[in-house]
This record gives sequence, C-alpha cells and structure tokens, in this order.
Amino acid sequence: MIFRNIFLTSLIFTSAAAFGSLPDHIGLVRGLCPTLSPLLVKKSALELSSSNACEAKFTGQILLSCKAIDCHTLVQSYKKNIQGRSGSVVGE
Amino acid sequence: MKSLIVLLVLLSTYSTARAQSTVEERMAKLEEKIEELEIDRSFDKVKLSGTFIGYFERINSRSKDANTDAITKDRGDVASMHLGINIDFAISENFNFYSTLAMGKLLNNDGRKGIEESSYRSIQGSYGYQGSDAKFDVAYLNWKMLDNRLNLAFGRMTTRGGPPLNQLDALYRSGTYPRFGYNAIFDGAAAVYDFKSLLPTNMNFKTRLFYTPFYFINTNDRSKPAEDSQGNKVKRRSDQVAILNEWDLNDSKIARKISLYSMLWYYDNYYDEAEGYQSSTRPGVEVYMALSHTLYFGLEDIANTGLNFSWSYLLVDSKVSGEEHDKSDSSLFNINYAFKNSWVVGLEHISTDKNFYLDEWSYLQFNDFYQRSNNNGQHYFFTVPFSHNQVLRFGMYDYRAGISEANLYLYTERTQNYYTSYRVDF
Repeated sequence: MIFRNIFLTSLIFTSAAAFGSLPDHIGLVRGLCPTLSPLLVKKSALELSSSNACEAKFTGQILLSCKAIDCHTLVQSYKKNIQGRSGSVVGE
Repeated sequence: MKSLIVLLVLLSTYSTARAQSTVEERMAKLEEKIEELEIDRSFDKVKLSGTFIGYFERINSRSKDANTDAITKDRGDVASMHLGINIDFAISENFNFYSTLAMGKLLNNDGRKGIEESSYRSIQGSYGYQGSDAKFDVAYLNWKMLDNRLNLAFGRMTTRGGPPLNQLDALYRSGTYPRFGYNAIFDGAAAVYDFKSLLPTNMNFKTRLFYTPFYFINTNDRSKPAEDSQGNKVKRRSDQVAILNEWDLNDSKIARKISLYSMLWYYDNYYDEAEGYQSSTRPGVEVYMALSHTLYFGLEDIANTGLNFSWSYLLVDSKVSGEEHDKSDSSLFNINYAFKNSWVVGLEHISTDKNFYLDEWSYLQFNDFYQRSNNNGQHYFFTVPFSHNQVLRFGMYDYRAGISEANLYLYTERTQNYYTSYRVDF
C-alpha cells in the first residue's frame, strides 16, 4: 500500500511538475498560506479565468482566510503559471 | 424476553457490521477510481494550447519625396490572421520539448512578394504574412539542472516578443528578448542560470546566454559554400551571440515589480545575397559587424495603483559593407494603466535617430512604427479582456518618420493607422 502510494505520487509529480503550471500556482499560494488546502486552491484556480474572480466563492474564501495574499498576487500567479505557457521564456 | 434481547443485539451487531462493510467497500471503490485517474493523468505528458489573432488595420499615410517634394497618399485597409498551435511534451521531470506550429496570412491571399533570402525567412518565421504554409516558430528542447538553477536549451527558441509587448494585451511575459532589442526568432543553443538562491527572497537575477549562428550554403550544391553575385565564396557560418542579464525586485514600496534588463548581442561577417548589399572590399559580406546594447527598465503596478511604465533604450554600433561605423541610440517608452477589471489603456512613444536599426522581423502590425529611423511617434491603445482568454484591442499608430539612408527610405511621412486586434488563447 505504502509502495503503491509512493509510486503513484512519483508518477503525478513527474507529469504535473514538468509543465510548471497548476502545481506551481498551488505552491506559490500555499507558500504564502500554508494552511490552505490544495483542493481549495484548485477550485479557486477555476474561478480565476473570469474578470470578477476575486469576488467568487472559493477565491473569496482564500482572500478572507489568508491576509498574506491579495487578489493581484493570485491573478498574476494564475496568468503566469496557468494561463501563460511554460517555455514562452527560454530558461523559465 | 431474554431471547428477544439477544436477537436484537445480534441483529444490531449484524447491521453495524454490514454498514461498516458497505462503507469500507465504497471507500475501496473510491480509492480504486482515484488511483485510476491518477495513473491516467501520469500518462498525460502532452500539453496542447494555442493562440488565434485576427487583425484589421486602416491605413492612412502621407509621403513626401525628399528630392521632388511630390506628395503620395496611401489609404486603404488590410486584414489578416495568425494562428499558433503549441504542442509541448514533458519528456521527463526535467526535460521538456516545446513547439509551436503557426501560420500568418492576409485574408484570401496566400503569400506575398517579400524577403526571400534564406536567413530572413528563417528569422521571420510565420510573422511575415508569407502564406498559409505552417511553420515551426518554436521547436526546442529544454533541460533543467542543479535544482532548476540551470537551464540548457537547443533548437528554435522563443526569442521574440519579450517585454513590454505582453502588456499591450494585459498578459504575463510571453517572450525572451526585450521587444526593442531584437524582435526575431532564432535557432541555436542557450544556457540560463538563476541566481535566486544567492539573493534575498524578493529579488531575482538571471543570466541568459545565446549562441545563434547563421548558416549559408550553396542553393544548388549543398556540399559547396555559397557564392555571391561575383562568384566569391561566402563563409558558411556567421556567428551571433547574445547575453541577457535580468534583475527583478518584487514587492517594494515603489512598485510591485522593478525590472532592469541589459542585453548585448553581436554578429559579424553576415552575408546578404541581395544585389547591391555586398561589399566591394570584402567579398561575400554585407555586415562586417553589429553590436547592440538594449536596456530595459520596467515598473509594474507602481505604488499599487495599476500603473505600469517601461523605458527601452537601444544602442547600436554597426559597420556595413566597408563603410564607417554607424552608431545610433533610440528609445521606446510605454506607459499603461491596468484597471481592476483588467482593461488596459496605454501609450507608447518612440524616438529614433537617423541611423536607427531594429531587427523587427516577427511583427503582426502592418505599419512600420517600430522600424523607422528619424521617427517620432505615438501608439495609443485600449485593451478589453473579456470572457475566457479573449482580448480585444483598439489602437492607433501616429508617427512622422524622416529620411534614412540606412533603411533606404526617401520620404518624410505622416502615418495615422487605426487597428483592431482580436486575440483568443486556448
């Protein structure tokens, strides 16, 4: 069971980390707000594509519960890590 | 009575055990489903994305011949499209392949007369409205090493479209070379080192080295070197190097991000097969040497107001076909305000001298605002991001450009072109 979980975790890390997208966004957010659950950050990421994302449900929860992060930082991280394309800048 | 109680206890125990068993069965099935999803995802090593841009420009230009004073007016409009499909592979954890297959064309016009030289077509990529043939604008491998501090790249790289070009459409940085430094697509190798681990947490410093040589071969016999119009042999390789140093300071009181970039590029012994460009004293060479220094200074979100400012300064020293060194220095300013709802309103101001030269090959606009020497002009723009990943931009280029021998322009002009750009990222 333990070895299976380690195997699965390594597979996920291999595939998800290579493009530096959602995991990087989650890493940045949870780096500033360690108590936030990854699932909440992912749900917020779905909201961040809209212009009023910071008023949306899950993004609002993040901003309410963690003062270390603001709307601008969330949106910029989304633009860089999810909306933007890994490889657009050589060496990033 | 006693039997009834025993029976009830037995039934209760059985129900609890049965319920527990049902919960455990459901948990096991859920775990199995999650495991299946995770495994499926682990094989998903391909990422597809793309960009489609529709562009319309209304041309309103007035030219004056410096020799005859004759006035020429040019009015009309042009419409085009540009499509890029990104196909990226995560080969392994630290090894990626990035590619973009793209095409750009005028509406119902498949190709145009234009630059034919082999190196020009390469550095232009899909951006010169050459037709609907798809081209690889990007095709490069990238290796991450030393805990992501060192990146090595090889192939056709994302050199074009650096800052502040992304700010026109309220996007994150989407290219490498500063926009006013070298707007072209180059092939070669690169090494990028990130010094972040040696610096305070709010500071970044990166050095990016590029080696992007030009190669020339005989069009009829690839085993032989190319020859110029006089039959002189042309060197097979013209070396070109660039070094880009980038310093960023984040979350200061002045601005959310302060950027200071410095880029040097150099090439020599460049061959141009166009007649009239070849040197009489050094056969097979058009440009002896060219050395450029670009400085980019940027302030993003000044004092948390949404205001952005950048100044790009280009200093070029070149020696063409045995003539004296031509030196020039020119500036591009960009100031824009990003509203909370992502709208952007902004202004670019350009000021170039008589020897100005910018390698402006991978362009999308029809006017030559960014290329003209003796230019003094403005670019006004208003950007509206709406829906999901869609951006509409309205703008006007208004500039006067003077005579320039370097660019062989003979006219003094006033140009006022209006445009609309519709961009979709998917």
